[in-house]
Amino acid sequence: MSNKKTDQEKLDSLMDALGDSILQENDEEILEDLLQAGTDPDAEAARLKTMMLDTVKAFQQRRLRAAREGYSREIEKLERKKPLIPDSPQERRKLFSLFVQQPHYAEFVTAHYRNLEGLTDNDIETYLEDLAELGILEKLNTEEIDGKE
Amino acid sequence: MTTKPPRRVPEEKAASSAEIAAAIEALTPAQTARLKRYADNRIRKLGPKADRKTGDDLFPIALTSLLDGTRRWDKTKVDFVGFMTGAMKSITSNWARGYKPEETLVLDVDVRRKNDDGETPGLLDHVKDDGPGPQQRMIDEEKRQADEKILDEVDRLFKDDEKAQMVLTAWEEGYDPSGVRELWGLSQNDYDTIVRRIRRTLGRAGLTARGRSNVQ
Repeated sequence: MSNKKTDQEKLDSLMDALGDSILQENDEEILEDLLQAGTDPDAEAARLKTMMLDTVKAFQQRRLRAAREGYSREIEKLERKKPLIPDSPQERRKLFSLFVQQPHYAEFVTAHYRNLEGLTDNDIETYLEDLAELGILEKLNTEEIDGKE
Repeated sequence: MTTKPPRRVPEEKAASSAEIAAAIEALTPAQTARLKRYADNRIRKLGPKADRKTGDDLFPIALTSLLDGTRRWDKTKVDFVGFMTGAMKSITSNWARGYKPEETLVLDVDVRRKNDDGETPGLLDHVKDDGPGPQQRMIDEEKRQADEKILDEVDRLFKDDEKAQMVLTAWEEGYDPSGVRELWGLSQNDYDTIVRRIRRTLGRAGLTARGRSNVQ
């Protein structure tokens, strides 16, 4: 046999071999052993399956809760930004016109968006939503209130 | 057998939580019993390092590592029992190295792949150990004494069973089943009969079903 092993190494090897033998054991033997030990195989299977399914369920609920919380946060964020965008298309166009006139926001406006006539109401609303998301509308409103040009 | 490092299962091939639940539902009583025995075996191997965890505790730990994506199960490559036993082996091997349980969930293999030594290597296998601290040394000593007692108990249980002693000695030296058969000239049938006897005797003595505590 090979060089001398410690007790721990011997026992570890023995336990590994026993573990592997469990994986090779046939189903009838396993069930017979359980019955001999006075354990009902069906009841034991039900207990273990319930324990495992509870783990899955708890994890799914945790993920669902996290997703719901994330969704609520996003909605809250959107709701906070909504009042910055006017309700009527005319007022939205007016606000957008004010925005494109600000020289310090020029970098955000492409040539296409400088031509207000060519933009649909929907284009403007979408662009304003993007600006609100970036926090620019909030700044623009503050600047307007402060009288800053 | 392969020496290739374990590869992570691609996300698109990983089983979903619904598929995992379905696999659990489909387990037979023999399969759940096999998983429980294997979990008990792994915890028993840890001895005091199990830190009072039981075989039952390994189930949710292994499952959570699967559900949170730390491990991935490709059901086309390995069945659920194979995945779970691989995960249990990997988790308990990391605990045995003295890592904290939360650290064992960070990096690991998804499917059991054995190297030439018959071990399933984890990604932490090659991490350098800085040596045990005082608490670790105390645990190691406690485990050493417990191991000695168990080996004495095993010797006592099989003192009149020469064939079982032959198999046990070979196991202790790290021989795999085919190596044991070759070493002692045993047929597959003889070997299986002896192993069954060993398992049952150890089980009755509380060394396979209820942990090492009976002889501590």
